Formats: sequence, C-alpha cells, structure tokens
Amino acid sequence: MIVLCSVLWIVSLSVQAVSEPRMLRIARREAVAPALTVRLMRWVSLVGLLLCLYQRPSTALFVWLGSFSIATVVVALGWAWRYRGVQRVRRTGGGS
Amino acid sequence: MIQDRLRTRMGWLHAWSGFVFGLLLVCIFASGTIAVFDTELTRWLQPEVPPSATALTDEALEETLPTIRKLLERDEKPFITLPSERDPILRVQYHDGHEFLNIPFDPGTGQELAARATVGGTFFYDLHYSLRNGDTGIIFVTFSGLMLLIVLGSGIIIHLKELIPDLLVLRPFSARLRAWLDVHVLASVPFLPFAFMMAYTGTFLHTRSILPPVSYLASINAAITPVAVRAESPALQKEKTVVPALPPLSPLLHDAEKVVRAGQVGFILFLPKNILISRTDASGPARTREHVDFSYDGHFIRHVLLTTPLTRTQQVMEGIHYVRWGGAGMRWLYFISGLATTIMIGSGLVLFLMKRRRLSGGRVIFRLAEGLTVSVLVGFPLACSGFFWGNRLLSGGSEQRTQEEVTVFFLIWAASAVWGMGGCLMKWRVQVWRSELGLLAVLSALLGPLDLLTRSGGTVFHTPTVFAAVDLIALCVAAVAFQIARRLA
Repeated sequence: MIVLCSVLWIVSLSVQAVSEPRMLRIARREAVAPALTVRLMRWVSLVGLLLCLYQRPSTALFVWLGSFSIATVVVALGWAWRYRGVQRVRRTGGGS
Repeated sequence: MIQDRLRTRMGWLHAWSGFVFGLLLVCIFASGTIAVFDTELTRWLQPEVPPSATALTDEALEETLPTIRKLLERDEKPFITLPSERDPILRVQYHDGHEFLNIPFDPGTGQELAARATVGGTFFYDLHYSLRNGDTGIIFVTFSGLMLLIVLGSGIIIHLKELIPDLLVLRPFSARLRAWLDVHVLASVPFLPFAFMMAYTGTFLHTRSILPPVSYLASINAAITPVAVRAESPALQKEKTVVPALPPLSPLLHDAEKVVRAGQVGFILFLPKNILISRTDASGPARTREHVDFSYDGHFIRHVLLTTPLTRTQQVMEGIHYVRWGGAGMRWLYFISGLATTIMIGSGLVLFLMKRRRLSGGRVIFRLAEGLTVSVLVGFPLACSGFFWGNRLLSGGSEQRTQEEVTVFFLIWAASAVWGMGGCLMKWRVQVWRSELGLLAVLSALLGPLDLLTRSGGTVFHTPTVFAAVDLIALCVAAVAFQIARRLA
C-alpha cells in the first residue's frame, strides 16, 4: 500500500510541478495551460487515501502522509536530475 | 511591515535556538531513527542466533524458568518476550539500568542459544530518550523536544509564503548556500507532519520531567542524586529477596490468552510479588499494556486495563511515538522520515555556519561551533559505525562485553570530538571534515564484508533480511559520506 500510495502521490506531485511557475523557471520551460484531464490528475492521490482507509483505517493517515513525504523527495530529486544540465549552464553563465 | 518584522525576529529565533538545540537534536533524532528497528538490530548484533525458528512450545517456556530464577535471586525484574513477527526467538530479558540485556532461547526446544552478550538495539533507544543519563538526560531530551516545536513553528512563519512553491525545488548544482537551503527545505516541509508529531508526542510522554507535579527543587534534587546514593539511604534499603517457587508458565499463559486473545501476549514479567502476563505492544495503536496478574502459586489475581480518558490519551501518544503496532512498512516510513528530520536539523546547522563564516569565520567561538558541528554530524554516525564494528570484533567470552561495546561507541565519539574541535581551532577545517567523512565512508562500506566474515552461514547471495538491510544502509551512509567529502572545497 505504501508503494501504491507513493506512486499516486508521485503522479499528483509531478502534475503539480509541471504547472508550477517556479519549477518551470528552473527547468527553463514555457508554461502551457494543461488539459482538464491533466489538471484532474492532481487529485489522484486522494484515491490512495481511500484505498488506505479501506485496507487498514488505523494506519491510513500515517501511510498516506508518509508516502506524500517520500514522493515529494522523489519528484524533487527527479526534477533536479532531469534539469541538472540547465542549472549547470546557468551557474557557469553559458546560458545567459 | 509588521509581517517583515515578525519574520526577522522569527529568523533570529529559528537560527539561534535551532543551532544550540540542533546539536543535541541531531543525536536524539539519529538515535531515535535507529531505535525504530531496535529489535531487528539486536538480531544483527547477535549473529549466532538463527534468523528463523520453529513455533513456541509449552516445554520451551518451562525451560526458561531456571534462568528466570537466577535473575530473580540477583534482584532483577526479568521478563520473557515471546516470539513475534519481528523476532522469532524466545528471549529472557532484564534491565541493567540502561539497556535491556537478553538471553536467547530456542522457542521449539527451550535450549539456551550460545550468543554473545550485547547491549543490542536498545542501546540507541536509551540514548534517544535519556542520553544514557537517567532522569537528568530525560529532562534535557524533553526540553529539546519542546524547543524543536518552537524551531519548527518559527521556521514555518519564516517560510510561510513560499511553503508550497518551494515544496519540490531542489537545486543541488546551484551555489552551495542555495543548494544547502534547498536540502534544508526539502527535508523539512514534506516531513513537517512527522516532525511535529514526534516532537509533540515525545515531549508529551515526559512532560512531568520539565513540568513536575512537585516543586522544581525537589524534582531537580531527585534528578541529580545518583541512584546508588538514593539506594543507600536507610529508608530505601530492602531486605534480601526470597524467591518463591516458580509455577509452570504455560497454564498461566493459556489462561491469560483467554482474556487478551490468543497470539496477543507480548511478554511475561516477573515482579517480586506476582507474575504479569501482558498484551503485546503490536496489538494496536494504543499501547495499553493490558495485563493479567497471577500469584507465584499460580492463582489468578486480577485483569488490569486502564480506560480513563487520561490513560487512553497517554496510551495513544505512546503508540504513535513507538510505532510497534504498524508493521514493517510503517516502521520503514518512520525510519525514512526520521532520517529526513535528522537531515533537516543537520543541514540547518551547516547553513547556520555558512551564513556566518564570512563575518565571524576567524573567531575562536565560531571555530569551536564548527568543531562541535563536525563532532555531531559526522562524529555521531562514526561512533555508531564503530559500535557495530566493536560488536563483531570484541571477544565473545568477556564478562564485561556489553560495557565494552558502549565504551567503544563513546571512545570513538570522544576522539572524533577532540579531533573535530582541535582541528577547527587550528584552522584545519577542510581536513577535519574530509578525514572524518572519509573514515565514516570506509568503516560503513566495510561493515557488510565484516558482517559476512564474522557471521556463520552468511553468503553474498543469501543473506537474511535483517542482516542485508543493515549492511545496505551502511553502504548508503558510506556513499553519502564519500560524496560529501569529495565535494568539499
């Protein structure tokens, strides 16, 4: 359940990252208005909460919040890894 | 304008209280994080004990009675922990004033297993909640927990505007200060629920130590008077304990199981007047410690389950803090979150120094602060690594072995602190960080091979989970230490 919840959170947070102006600036990407289905994906993590409640209510909140924390680190690391080149160029002044 | 002034003041509070208490909080959180797996660590620290065993038999339970009797004659309060999902071995345990020492038994035959004496994973548990200093240590830890709540609150106020936009921002290839700040925020914001929960429940559990129900003077006096002196006072001197005949345990266990349900018994505690058969902490979020009491002649005395609102609150707080009920997955979540919170505090310490280096870097007090930071951030994990090495390399036959393990830990930590502070005072800052990180990387990387060499039956391709997990985590620590050492200017 922890793995499933983490995956759902990763999807949700990735969609959030794609539509966050600050994250797009870091990646030097143009902001585009996401489609409705993509915007709805932000709430997919709520499915995880429901599944957690269904499986074991006493641990649901712990698992859901814990997997959010892990997913955040995964998305942040993934984003940093993906756009490390852009940041390096900016640091050395090559891109300006 | 008012908001800016508030943020400035909170920034001061966050930085200074964070640094002063952060030095202690890193040790508290790191040891607490390790203590999440205290039972599993005890298994790693006793490699002679087989990783799996047969189910518990009534005969095996009776075979532990001579050992129990010996311990009762020594005025100990022994208890038997029954095999569980976390530990398949039957163990007789007692508290030595700091840790729970254990004697393992085969749960099928009741034969005592020849295993090295060790302080086990409970060493980190004791270090976490009392700094190995009894009541005085508990006061320090509880007050630090309270300060952590203040530091977290002030941190949120400082960062309130950017809390959500910064949630996923990590720029490890940016300027160093920026990168460390990102690490600090990333290790803080997503883990805030965990950090608040642990700081609050931890402080709640020992509130009496900082808000005693009696006068502060009496409470402080009791805390600083050594236990040995208190025991010598005539009023507290006891007569030599006469150990009564011990009843067969299996009928008592079966009777108790009728009350707390089969498979729900965690341990059997032997007190001077009676025997308590207690519910396992793994049974639910509330740590009820519901127990059925028997006399030494085998008669039922009472069934105890405290259900007042106050005790229920205490039980739930304990359950949440200790997480003995949530299964392996929940413990891993706690472990990762604890690690992140330790990184949050550690990166805060580094940021505090970085921001003041340009203006105050030459001052003696700054160099001393940096020495203390090295001793805590690198010295503590170095001492932990040394503890594991000590466990495997100290000879098994020594009577004082458990004490030697502890001595190894504190000797390595002391040496790291002396080198850290001395080196920083001599302006060998980079060499100090590099040498300690390098040693940590080497000791941690070689822990896996050491485990394989000093554990009978271990091979690279077939390592029981408990051993594999410890070895792999040590390898990760080595990789991180190596990477940081490599990137140091």
